[in-house]
Amino acid sequence: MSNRVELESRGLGMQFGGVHALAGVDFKLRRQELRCLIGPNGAGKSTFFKCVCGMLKPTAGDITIRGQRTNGLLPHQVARLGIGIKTQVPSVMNGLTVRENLWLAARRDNTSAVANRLVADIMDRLLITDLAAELLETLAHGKRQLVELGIVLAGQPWLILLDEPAAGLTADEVDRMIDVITDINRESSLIIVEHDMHFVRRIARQVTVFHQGRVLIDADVDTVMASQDVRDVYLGKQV
Amino acid sequence: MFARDVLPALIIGVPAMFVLPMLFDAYTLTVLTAYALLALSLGFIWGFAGILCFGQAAFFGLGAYSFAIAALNMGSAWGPFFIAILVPAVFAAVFGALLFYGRLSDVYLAVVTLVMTLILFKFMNSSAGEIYKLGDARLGGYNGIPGFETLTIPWDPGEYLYDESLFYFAFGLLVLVYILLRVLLKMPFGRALVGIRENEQRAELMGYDIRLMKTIAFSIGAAIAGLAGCLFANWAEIVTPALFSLGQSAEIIIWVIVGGAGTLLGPVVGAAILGYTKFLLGQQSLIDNTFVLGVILILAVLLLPQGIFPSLVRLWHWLLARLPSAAPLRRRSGRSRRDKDV
Repeated sequence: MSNRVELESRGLGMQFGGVHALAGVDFKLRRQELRCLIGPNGAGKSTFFKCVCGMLKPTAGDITIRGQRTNGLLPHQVARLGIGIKTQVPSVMNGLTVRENLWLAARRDNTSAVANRLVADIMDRLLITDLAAELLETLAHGKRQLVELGIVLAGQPWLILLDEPAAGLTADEVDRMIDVITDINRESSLIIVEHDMHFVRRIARQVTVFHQGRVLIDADVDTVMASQDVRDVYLGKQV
Repeated sequence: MFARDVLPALIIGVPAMFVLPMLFDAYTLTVLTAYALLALSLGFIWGFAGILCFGQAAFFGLGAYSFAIAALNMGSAWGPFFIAILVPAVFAAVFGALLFYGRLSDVYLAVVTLVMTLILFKFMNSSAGEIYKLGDARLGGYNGIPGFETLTIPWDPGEYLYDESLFYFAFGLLVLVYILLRVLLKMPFGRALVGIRENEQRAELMGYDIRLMKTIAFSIGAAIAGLAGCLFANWAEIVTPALFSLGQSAEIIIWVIVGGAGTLLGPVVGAAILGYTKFLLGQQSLIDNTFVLGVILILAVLLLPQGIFPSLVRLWHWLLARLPSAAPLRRRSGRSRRDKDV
């Protein structure tokens, strides 16, 4: 594993009117890392996430992805850098089939022939081949989460951002999701925003805790779980 | 692609081209064909790219006016024919870029496009003065522009396209445009457009530049509307500001809704049926015909919310499923809520 920093934010700030959703976030992600972002509601996790993927334009500070400054880039431009994004509420194309959803993601960078192969591979890998001809709107939540992950993979990203991938999944589906994520991590770096502590405990090595728009602590998972500060934040005490 | 998309259109389209003039008056059929092409243009950008343009009449009118003005200046009609397609396409590309790069969406887009056609309507209505002159063509205000050259047979400039020959030409173009759109929708660009309609955010996260793609789709739609306007100008042999009117704009949307948004054939059917109904209603004075069209729209929205054409397709599938011998042909009973292949 190389130690090269692939994504970095310095003094990242995002202000909505008088509210500082992010108040100076310094963050570094190294190659092939799997990083979990946790923190209570309103801590700024999702805002940070949106700033990274271009859905929000930060009001202060810088984001650098593989040496390129990306604040101000639009979502499609960030995506073209090789970044795959799974949103909190599954963002999929409801009226299209599973295959078409994956194909559109795969086709952007590839010829149709390559895209077809890629889609077949990914459906195999996620065990959703039998759903290929189903419309997304007919699928249950857990399957939609999985398909969205497939869409992200079809773009062949080297960095993947997942916003609450375990939300609303059954225990079995969570197991499956963990397998998939572990598998993905062999090739790609991952940033995962998650609320579910059990889930975080199972997959995380390095955890970043957000609190009031800042990074409270950035450490390995055991240290974070043992931290009194983190407990206090989650219980709503002042730190 | 050929067997599934091009062939059926030819199998139905070519015989229809020869049978229809035996059943109906070619003069009426020609204007219905122009309307069908206009409906197809909106059916494409609204039904497949998700752009609700309330001012599609603007491109129709621009096509017609461009043709008339160019024909008066050039003294022939084939150059103007292409100008009539190009001018609305370029206008829409510039206008569309302003809208889509400005992230204007949904209802705002509908309002802005509506205002655009009303501005053109007002302008053309007040262009009666001597100063409103482009080359040899006076815009003529409320009276419009009459007396321009119309299309001739390319290899025989003395022979004008009118009545039946104009109908064949118009209908041939309708079939051609329909086939081109079906092929486009099978290509990666077309499929991505449908993806944008389904979920803009996801399309962006996939790396598609939705601003550029919507601008291109908008421009293609305008080119088709311009072509329809050109055919209309050849049919009417006069262009007037009424082409840009609110009524004309609303009517296009009604054709698409009643015929079936989200399909290509639906708008064509809608335009033909409603256009013909309006023509029949115009021959009587008992009921106001806009009232009847309004009633048809309301009934269609309430009873056939998917539109006439998709409902017919569903009825057809339903009937097929009832026939035991044909049952194995049906792959799966639950087809898409929009029948995207049609």
